[in-house]
Amino acid sequence: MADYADIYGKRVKVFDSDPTLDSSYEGQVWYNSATGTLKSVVAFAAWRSSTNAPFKAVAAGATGPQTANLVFGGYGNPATPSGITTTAEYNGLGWTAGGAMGDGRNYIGSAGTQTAGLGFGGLDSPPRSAKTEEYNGTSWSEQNDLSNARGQGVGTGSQTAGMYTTGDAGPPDYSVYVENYDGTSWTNGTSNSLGRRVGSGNGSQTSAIIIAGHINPSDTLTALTEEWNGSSWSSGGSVNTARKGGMAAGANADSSVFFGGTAAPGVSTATEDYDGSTWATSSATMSVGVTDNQQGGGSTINTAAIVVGGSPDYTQTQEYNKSINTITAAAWASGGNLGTARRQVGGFGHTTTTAVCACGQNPPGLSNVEEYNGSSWSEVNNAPMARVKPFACGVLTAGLIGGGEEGPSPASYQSSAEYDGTNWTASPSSALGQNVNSGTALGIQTAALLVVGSESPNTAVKYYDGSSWTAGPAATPTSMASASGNGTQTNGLVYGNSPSQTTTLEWDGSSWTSGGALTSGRDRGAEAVGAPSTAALYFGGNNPSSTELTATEGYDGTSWSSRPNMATARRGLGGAGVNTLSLAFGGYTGSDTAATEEFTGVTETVTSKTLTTG
Amino acid sequence: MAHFIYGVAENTGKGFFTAEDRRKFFLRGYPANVWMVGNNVDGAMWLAEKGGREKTKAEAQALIDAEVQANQAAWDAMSDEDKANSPGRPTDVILP
Repeated sequence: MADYADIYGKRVKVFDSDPTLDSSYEGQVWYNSATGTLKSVVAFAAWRSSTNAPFKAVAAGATGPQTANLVFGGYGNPATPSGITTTAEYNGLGWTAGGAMGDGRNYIGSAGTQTAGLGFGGLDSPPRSAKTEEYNGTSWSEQNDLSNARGQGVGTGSQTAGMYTTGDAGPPDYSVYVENYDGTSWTNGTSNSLGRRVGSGNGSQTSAIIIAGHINPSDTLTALTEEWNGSSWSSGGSVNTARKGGMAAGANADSSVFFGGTAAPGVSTATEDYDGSTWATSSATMSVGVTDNQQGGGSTINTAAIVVGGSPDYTQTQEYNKSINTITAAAWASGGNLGTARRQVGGFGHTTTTAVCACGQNPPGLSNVEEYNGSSWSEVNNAPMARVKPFACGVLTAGLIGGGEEGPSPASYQSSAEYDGTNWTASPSSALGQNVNSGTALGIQTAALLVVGSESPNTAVKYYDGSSWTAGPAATPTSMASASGNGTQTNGLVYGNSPSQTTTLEWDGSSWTSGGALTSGRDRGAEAVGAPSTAALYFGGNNPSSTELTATEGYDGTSWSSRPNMATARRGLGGAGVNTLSLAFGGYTGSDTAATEEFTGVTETVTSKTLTTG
Repeated sequence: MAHFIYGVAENTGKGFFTAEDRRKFFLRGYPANVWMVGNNVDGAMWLAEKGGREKTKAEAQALIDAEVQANQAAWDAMSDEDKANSPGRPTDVILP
């Protein structure tokens, strides 16, 4: 028998321990002499949870790849028989609201992408819809109707080359209809051989596969598939588990990943891979079974799929990946509690192991300062004076706070103070040149930008160079009191100034421009103060009803999208770190809290697999 | 089957809940150390391991109400000046 050297022309390397892995190790084999195992880096499949969707997706349409998915319509929950019009966009990390559909429908056909989407047919009032709508990344517009009104069919292809196959046309309840869309109108195509509804499928007008579903009589579950090669239909390999309402992703008839759906009995968590002839049940199973949502023609990657929905709350997002990486979802975890519970604090520090919580109130104004080392807080030298709602920025060894007031007597301060990691140095009492309260500072101690907050002139901007404050070059277009911000003196971001507004302002060193809107209006949240302006993380705060929030969202330089929520709702909290490793501490939950939470963003790690045991 | 279980447990800080916990089950903290936990094996195990005392939803809501009402009473007793400097009267918290 040939050995490894005969096949590959080289011997297996022997290591005392696994090497530091990267993608170049994919397919390579080595022997770990310490564990006595033959190791390699090979692709493996896994499902993981991601940020919950902003609405309950039941019998919804969906299309697009994992990093740019579009979900729309469906029943909602509680069920809305005529369908809901909600649309949401997923960017691989979180969700943002999209434009509402003109006509809400459930079991709607889907094709295209997040910026060129297509929704067609569905169950509506009257029961089967022929309507077609196109999505341009912002809004839906109605187009020409299908020839055969129906729902529960299979959508594939793109906005300019879409295909709608099978479905419930009531009657026929299990249709063989095929219609093709050219970007303007639908024309009849070659009919399927087997009528079905709530089937699944993926592909394009030139190569597609229709998978499983319900067939006559009486909603019999089928495992049968049909493949389309651009000119005719032929039978494909049967799936291992017959089910209806599953989802599928893949580029053509020869590549598909099929998952979820309703089997007998119950909702399935099974995943199957297709190689063009045979389906193989994957070891990867969904953590929550999902049925009856679509993944339309834009979901063309069979190694990276997404689905949202599933009992109990129908907002769970799950991602499927087949890669050499172990992908770990973002999440908040509890951190060490502050020594002094407090709110309206000043937080700074660019890492989660070098964070500072300065001042605040509980309710008297506090000058207490605590430092966090990644697991616990320790009391350090007090700030020169108590400050409530101070601004703060910088790092542990070069921090800056200022402004604020000392409750309960409102008398906003015109001073600031520097921290060197041990001692505080106070500025002259009028250094800022005006009262500053609920302000926002970004940057570092020697190059800080201050948006002054609530005191008049409340749109003023100040610069600090490490020794003195000067007027900034341009005022904000609106007051940004109680806001948050991150970035630098020349490239900054300020947001979250009002529960009733979603304002984001971008700063380029000379002027302010509007940024993407927050996903929901709020203020008194906190931020990852060390993050660049193109990678912000904003968490907590309160909404227009003065209800504290757990909400977390991230900014990518263009738009905000949701991230996993904190466990404890709060406002007036402090923040530190960057967008992938962040810290939330203190705040107000109806009373002052000492709780800390640590955020870890999505991580991907090349992972070795053991091939044999020695 | 109920979607959530409720319990009372003191947040002891680091390690009280981990990122892995958050990935495995729903977890949400409320006043009075009330925690709403996804009703699955991982969620139930977490509450037990934290020494949590399981409550019915009504019992959990009553604990929250008592805490919030105490905070509201404290706020109501504040001077107008203090109220002006506070985050506002604590709002009612209703378990979903």
